[in-house]
Amino acid sequence: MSRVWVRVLALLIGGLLLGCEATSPPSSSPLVATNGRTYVFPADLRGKVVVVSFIYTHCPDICRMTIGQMLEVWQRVGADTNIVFATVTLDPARDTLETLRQYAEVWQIPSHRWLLLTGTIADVERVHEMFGVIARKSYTERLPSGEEVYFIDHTDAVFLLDQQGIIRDRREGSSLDATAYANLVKRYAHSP
Amino acid sequence: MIRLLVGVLCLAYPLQAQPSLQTQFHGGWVYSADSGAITGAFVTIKNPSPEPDTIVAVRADCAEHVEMHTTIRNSDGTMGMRPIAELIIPARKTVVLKPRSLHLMLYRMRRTLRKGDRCIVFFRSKRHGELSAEFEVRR
Repeated sequence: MSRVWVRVLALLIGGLLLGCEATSPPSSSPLVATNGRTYVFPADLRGKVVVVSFIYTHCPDICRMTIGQMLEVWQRVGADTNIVFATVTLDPARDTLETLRQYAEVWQIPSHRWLLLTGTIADVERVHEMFGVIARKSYTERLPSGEEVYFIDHTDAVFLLDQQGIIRDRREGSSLDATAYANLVKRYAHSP
Repeated sequence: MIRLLVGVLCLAYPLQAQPSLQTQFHGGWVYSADSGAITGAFVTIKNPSPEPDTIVAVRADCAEHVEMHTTIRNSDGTMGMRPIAELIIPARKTVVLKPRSLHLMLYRMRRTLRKGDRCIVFFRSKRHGELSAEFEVRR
């Protein structure tokens, strides 16, 4: 076989592997949670079914809808110890641990088995890449005080990871049907 | 003199009748937020008048700055927000500001808002000047 064909074959196999990785996060990244612990995310959560969402605290519309829906799902499945919720920031530059803690308090997000995660910009961006989530600065508003506030265009998605860390479901977070989604989460939490 | 009085009364009548034709605000609500944070607010705006109205500016007693925004979906599927300079309320129509759509952006809250708290929002209408509406913190 000529070298050219070997390269073509290698590219094809590589492409197929990348295709597989679209449903399974290829690696993990260290993120720090509002409970003070650092998690190699999502690897450290293997063994649990994980509901992963992405938000940023300066987002007044889509992310609040997503958190609202997640809270409704939590009410239906939160008592199940096989299930963990993980909400990763889309804005690591502004969403410090303290900011996320305040956000959790405002939204009455349960502190047990619901991790709000941030980290260095590089580590958080790596997690975005793993899940195919886009987050890019859009426009900046200059307030009368002179302060500049930027906003982010972002993917509106939540992911369901099974106990092996494989992505089993991806859908829009801000508009999901909480009852149907809770049933799906429960099904994965108790599948053999 | 009588003619003058009649003239004044004729002029005054439409002004007195105007409130029923004023742009109206119903069911205003706002997301809870900490002091200094940014949050969103929503309301139904009704224009009963045979003429269109335009909201050109908004302010609130609970926030340092308010803008009108719309939520957009980009061609790559991402969601975002963009400010709008003015909001036209067509004649005898209703415009609904709601999540994932048109909304008000409240910047840097002057106080912490929790469920049940209230905030007064002032809308500058091209036809009616400044109009106010009470918003309730819903969640």
